Amino acid sequence: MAEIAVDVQNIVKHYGSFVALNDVSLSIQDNEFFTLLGPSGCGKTTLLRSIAGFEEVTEGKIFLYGEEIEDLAPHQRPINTVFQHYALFPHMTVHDNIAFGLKRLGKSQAEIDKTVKEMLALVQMEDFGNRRTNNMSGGQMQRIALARALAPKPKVLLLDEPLSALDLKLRQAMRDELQKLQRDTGITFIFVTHDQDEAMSMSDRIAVMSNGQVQQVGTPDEIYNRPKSRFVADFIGDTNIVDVTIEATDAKSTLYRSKGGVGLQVERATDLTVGAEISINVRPENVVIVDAGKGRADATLTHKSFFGRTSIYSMELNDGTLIKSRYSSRDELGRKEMAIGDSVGIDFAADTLAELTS
Amino acid sequence: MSTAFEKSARTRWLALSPTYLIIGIFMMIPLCIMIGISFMEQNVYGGVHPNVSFAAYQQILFETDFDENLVFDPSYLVIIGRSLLLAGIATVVTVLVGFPVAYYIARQNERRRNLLIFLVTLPFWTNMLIRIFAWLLILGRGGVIDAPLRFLGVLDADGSLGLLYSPGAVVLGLTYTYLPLMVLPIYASLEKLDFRLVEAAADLYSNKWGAIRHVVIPLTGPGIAAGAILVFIPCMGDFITVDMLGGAKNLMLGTLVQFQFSTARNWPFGSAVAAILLIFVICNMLLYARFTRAERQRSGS
Repeated sequence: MAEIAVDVQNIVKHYGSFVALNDVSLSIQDNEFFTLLGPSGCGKTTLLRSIAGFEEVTEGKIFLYGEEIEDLAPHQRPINTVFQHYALFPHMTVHDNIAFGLKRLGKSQAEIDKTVKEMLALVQMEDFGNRRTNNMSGGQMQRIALARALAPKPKVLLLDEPLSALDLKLRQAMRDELQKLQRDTGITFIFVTHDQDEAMSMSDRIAVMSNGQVQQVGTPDEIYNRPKSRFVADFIGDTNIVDVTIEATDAKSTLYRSKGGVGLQVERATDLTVGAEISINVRPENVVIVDAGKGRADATLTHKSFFGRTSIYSMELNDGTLIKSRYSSRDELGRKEMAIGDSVGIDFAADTLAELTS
Repeated sequence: MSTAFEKSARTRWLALSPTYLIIGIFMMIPLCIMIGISFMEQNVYGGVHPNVSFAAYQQILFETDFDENLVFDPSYLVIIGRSLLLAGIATVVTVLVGFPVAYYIARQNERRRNLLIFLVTLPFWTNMLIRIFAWLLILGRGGVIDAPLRFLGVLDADGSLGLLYSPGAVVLGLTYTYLPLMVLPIYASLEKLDFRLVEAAADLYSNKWGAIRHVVIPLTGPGIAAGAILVFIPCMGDFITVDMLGGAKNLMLGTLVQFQFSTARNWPFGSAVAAILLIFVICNMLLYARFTRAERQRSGS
C-alpha cells in the first residue's frame, strides 16, 4: 500500500446557503497523478483551493502526509499551485518569478540560482531567465508557472485547469509534458479539469465530481468501462444507457427487462436482487451489429453518420429505445452495406455492460 | 494618406484650441505677470514700481542692515525648510493611512466599493474653512480633547495639552485635508491589480505582509507616486490649514506668500516666494515623470 499524500476527510464547504462541497472524502496517494474531473460548478476547484488553503473549509479535515493542515494559512503549507491564468508576477523577470518561493523560504542565493537554472532546464526555457513575462506566449507562460511552482520542491503540486487557456495543439503537447514532468519529479500532482480527454490521457486515477460530491474514484479504465452511476457514464464519453429492471438472476446469467418490455439476457451474475430498478450502460464501440435474430435484441437501423475515422449507427429497439453503435473505418472494411430501415440484431460482450445503480 | 493625417492633425488643434486659450489666458499670462512682478521694486503702498530689481530674490537669503550692508539671514530658508519637512511628513502620513484604506476598499464587493469611495470624497462637499474650524474646536485650548482631561483631573482647571498652533497640528490638518487625494489614485491602481497575484504570493510562502511588500506595493507604485505628488504639492502651497492650525509661529511658503500680498504689501517678494514654490512643484513633476517613464520601461510595453 503506497503512502497517502493527501487525505481529505468529510470536507464540507458552504458559501452562505450554497453548498459547494458536500461531505467529500478522498485519499490521494504519494507520487500519483490524480485528477478532479467534473462540469463547472461541481466543486472541483473549491476542493483544490481548500487543499491549497485559499478556502477555509466549513467542516472536515485535510491531512498532508499524515499532518493535519486545514487550519494552516496557504504560505504555511508545503503545497504549490499552477494557476489557471498563470498569475505570473508582471514586475519581475522569469528568473525572479521562479526564485520567488525560494527567496521567501530563505534559501541561499547560490542555491536559488542553481534551482532556478534546473527548473528552467526542466521546462526547456533555459534562455528566458532575464526576460519579462508580459510578451510571452501562453505556452511559455505556462511553462514558467510550472517551473515557479515546482522550484520550492512542494510535497504536492496543484494544477487548476492549467491547459484551458492554450490552443488545441499546444494543449495536447503539454499533456505529454505534464505527465513526463510528474514522472521525472516524483511529486504528487492534483489536476483539476472539466475536459474528460485531458483527465483520461494523463491521470493515474480520476475522481469524478458533481454537485459538490465525489461520484466515483478510479483509474481511467475503471471510470470509462465500469462507471457506477448514470452521471459518470454520461459525463465520460458517448454511451448507451437503458433503464431496466432485473427480472431473473442466477450464478451464471442475469435477465434485464427494459421499461418497454425488451429483455436482455447477459451471461454474468449480479450482486443486485431481482426486482431492482437500475440502468445499464454499454459504450457504442462495444455494440456489435449482427443479423436480425442473432443478437441479444432486435432493432431497426434509423440513422448512419460517417465521421471519417468512425461511423455511428443509430438503432431503435422494439420499444423505441435508441442504441448507438460505433465502428472504426477499419472494422467496416468488407462488411456488407446497410440501409436505413433494415432490421438488425445488436450484440455486446457480457463484460462490457456496466450496471448503474444511481 | 499623409494629407488626411495632416488634416486630422489640424482639426485636432482646432478642437483643442479652447483649452489652449483658457490655459494661455488664465494660467500662462498670470504666471508671466507674477514672475515679472518678482523682478520689480516694491511700492510700500501696494503694487510695484516698474523698475528692474533683484531685491526680492536677494531678500530670501540676505537682510539689509542699518549700514546698507547685506547680511545673511536664514529665517526665510527656515520657512522653506519647514515647508518641505511638514509637507513631506504629511505626505508620508497620508501614504501610511491612505494605502490601508484604499486596500480595504479595493477588497470589497463592487457596491460597497462605490459607497466607500463616495464616503472618502464626502469631506470635499463641505467647506474647507468649516472643516478646519472643527479641528480648532477639537485641538484648541479647552477643546474636545482638553475638556475631558480637565474633568478627569489630568489637567488643571484651565490647563491645556497645547496641541493647537504646533507643527503637529499643521501635519494633522494637512493629512486630514489631502488624504482623499492619496486614497483615490492608490485605489485606482489597486482596482486594476490582479488579486490572484496575491494568492500566488501566498502560495509561494509569503505571509500577508510579504505579499504586500513584494507584489502589491511594487505593482501599485505608480498610484502611490501619483498620490504623493497630488498631496505634496498642495501641502507646500497650503495656507488656510497652516494659518488656522499653525498660527504665527509655523509659517510655511503658502502663508508667507499670502502675508506678503495682504499685510506686508511686498508684491515682488511674495511673487519671488511663489516662483520658488513653483520651482519645487516643477522639480516634483519632473521627478514623477521620470519615475513613471522608468516604470513603463521596466514593465516593457
